[in-house]
Amino acid sequence: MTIAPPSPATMPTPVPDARGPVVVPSRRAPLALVLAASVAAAAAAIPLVYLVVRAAEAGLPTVIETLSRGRVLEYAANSLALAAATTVTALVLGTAVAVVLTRVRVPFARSWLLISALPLAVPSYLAGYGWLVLAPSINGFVPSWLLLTAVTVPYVTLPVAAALRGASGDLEGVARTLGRGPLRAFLVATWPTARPAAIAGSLLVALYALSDFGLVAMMRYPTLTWGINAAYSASFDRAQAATLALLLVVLALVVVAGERAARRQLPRAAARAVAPRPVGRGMLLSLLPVVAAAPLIGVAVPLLGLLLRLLDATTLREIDVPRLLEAVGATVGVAAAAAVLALVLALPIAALAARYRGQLVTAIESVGYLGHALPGIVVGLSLVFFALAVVPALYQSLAVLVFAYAVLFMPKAIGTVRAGLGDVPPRLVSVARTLGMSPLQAWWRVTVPLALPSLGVGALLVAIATMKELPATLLLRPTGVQTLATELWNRTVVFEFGAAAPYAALLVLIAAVPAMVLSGVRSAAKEEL
Amino acid sequence: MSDLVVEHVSVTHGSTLAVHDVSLSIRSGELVAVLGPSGCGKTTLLLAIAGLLPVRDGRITVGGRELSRAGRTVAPEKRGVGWVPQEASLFPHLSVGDNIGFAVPGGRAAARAARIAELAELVGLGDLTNRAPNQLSGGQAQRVALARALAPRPELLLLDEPFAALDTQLRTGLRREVAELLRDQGTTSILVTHDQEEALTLADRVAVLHNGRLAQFGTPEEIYQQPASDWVASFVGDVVELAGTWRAGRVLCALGSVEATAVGFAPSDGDTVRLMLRPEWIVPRPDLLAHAAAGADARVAAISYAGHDAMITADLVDGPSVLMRMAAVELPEVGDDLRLAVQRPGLAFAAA
Repeated sequence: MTIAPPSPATMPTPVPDARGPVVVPSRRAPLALVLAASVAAAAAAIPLVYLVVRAAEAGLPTVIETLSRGRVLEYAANSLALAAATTVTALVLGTAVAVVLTRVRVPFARSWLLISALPLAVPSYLAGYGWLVLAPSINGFVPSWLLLTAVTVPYVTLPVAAALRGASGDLEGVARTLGRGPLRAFLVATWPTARPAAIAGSLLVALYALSDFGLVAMMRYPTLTWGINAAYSASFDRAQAATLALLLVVLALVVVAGERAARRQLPRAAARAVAPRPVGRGMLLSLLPVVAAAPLIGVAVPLLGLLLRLLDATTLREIDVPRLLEAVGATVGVAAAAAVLALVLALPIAALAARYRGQLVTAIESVGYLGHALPGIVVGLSLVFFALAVVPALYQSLAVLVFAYAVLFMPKAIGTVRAGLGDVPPRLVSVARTLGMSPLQAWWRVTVPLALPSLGVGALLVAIATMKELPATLLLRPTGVQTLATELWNRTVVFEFGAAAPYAALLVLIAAVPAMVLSGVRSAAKEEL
Repeated sequence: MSDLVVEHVSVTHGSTLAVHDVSLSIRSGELVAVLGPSGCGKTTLLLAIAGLLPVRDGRITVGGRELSRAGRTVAPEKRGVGWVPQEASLFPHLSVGDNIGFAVPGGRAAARAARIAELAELVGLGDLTNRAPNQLSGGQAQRVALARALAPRPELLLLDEPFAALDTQLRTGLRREVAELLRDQGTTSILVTHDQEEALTLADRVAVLHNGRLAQFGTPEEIYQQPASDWVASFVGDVVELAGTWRAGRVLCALGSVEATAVGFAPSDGDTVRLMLRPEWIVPRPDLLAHAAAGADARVAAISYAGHDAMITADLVDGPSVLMRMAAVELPEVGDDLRLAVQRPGLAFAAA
């Protein structure tokens, strides 16, 4: 997952270069580009649209009847309780960590910032696996809540830390000179500028908690995602699965709408920040648990459990190398295919959004970001229905699986590619035009080479996210195809922790570590702004 | 033949009308400067000629070929108009050689390389073609941008303040060199600038733009000596302004009775007018008294020394002070008494 999935409202808009001539692009976008972007957006909309179609076919009475069954209410209540509890704890803990890291002179401050971003790289089910290895009896609400909090806290920590760095220290100083104590001054002068970041971040936590499948299923805590999977795979009750999925999507969309609204209030201007102040050794030691809690619970302990089980003699003896390699091959293969497809779909949308404005452009871009709001299990379920009903030949094929990944993770590609294309000075394109290049030639010879790094980063983000994806993979993988995530999952749910260990270790190696490096680089880059 | 004809062109930029009913006719091979303060619409006019902005009204033709009119803009790549933007704007992912050769057709590698070498030589960068753009100085980057624009042999070359980002010494040398190069090549060129000296020294003719309208179009001498309005007069150089009364081709003012030409209106005797003079027209030489103007006694109040010349503030005995520009050979001292004369007819404008 990226640190902060970008929403269109916060993407940098190309600011006219104040020093030079502003080469205004023709206000109307080329028809071919609009068409290509519309096709890509339509592809991204398939899962949601088809889910609605499916539920509508079942008819309102069926939907209401399904919703009023006892288990459904329980699933919904559990999902909401887990999301609410996780959101509150992540908000409190994340804000506390951010305040400590920005306001206290901590030794190795940069390293601590990178460490506090690490939990994002660990898929929730991997953290669950690591804990189950050490304590096989844990289950239910409390471990789900604590582990989800640990892996999602960075969604709050990082944006709030950035906002606190950007907040003007002058205002806080003024409040102090007007007789407010340090805490009152912080609350009056600084908190209002950090609050939108905190709210937006904690709503991302809520979205993550609502969408999570792997961890809650491992902890046997029945939420909506769990219910969807149970209804589909255990009883093949498709109507109930679809209804539950629709309910989950509605909740997720509400959360995403709130996140966007909060993000829109983020202040832009940077100001002279308050310098971190030195504190005594005793104080530092007492702050350590606050900062270290999430990395410890979300990363260190699970990795320790994994490592212990991996180095166990029985585990090492029983490693099925061909099968392991096959899973690595399948994982990397689908990830590469998903990265290419997501890039192809993202490119026209990003090209359109980087240079043109207007309601149509905004609408197309928003639809492209839909995957960001849709839980993986919902996309998986909807595409199962879609494949069966519309393209039966492709049911249980890799094509549908790769398409699901592309829809889910396209937003990551759109965000980075759009920023990369937007950074190419329009004047260079104009120069190419006056040198005899058609718009397409100029785009190919100037814009694309300059935006190439961002295309690479976009593809890499999609590939990493794909390798870590679990619920959609479980629903859509063709029989016989196993990825590292599904192998880990299948063994963990039957308590074969030893057999699962090599898959977990490889998943950490090829997905979590690159994700840590990338998120470290990206969050460091963001912090330096 | 590559005469550029701009007829009654208006251009909107964003939501504002940036160029309003401008007409210019530029002869083949001529170097014309478009001069104006920032925000006057000169760059917008250039972008419209390059085909990067559509015109709202009017017509642009080059060599009789229509390039722009309302609702129809020939694409920039099909106009044969070269563009050297402000700050060079070299392609950062290409070497100097590939920047120059951007518009040279692929075809035979040897022919392309020869053309690139020829252009690099032309702008004096023969040995730098393997460099990356970020290894160039500002002046070198502008030379590359010029070579790149000349490569497809454009009928018309547009230069948008190409020297603005360079330091003074480099600027003076490079602009003279570029002007000579363009004249040698016989390329019809338009140079946009806000620098009066640059426009007057380089251009065959100067178009002065003010608030999107053409204020005057003429030779540098006409622009400076016979400005079409008081705005042009004070924009292209220093002025001395005195209130006075019109009487039979002369203005009675603090400098005495100064011979003058009325600009833009026909005064009758006794009207109040504003007399405008260039500081170098006023000289401490009573022997020139008979030539153009009267004489007046003044005392030197301040001297601003600029090396080759000096600006002298002189308080007239009966009234305001005036500025005089003198060659810095025999300067008076502060407090000296002078007797002033005006050595060429002044300009009379209607009183505000």
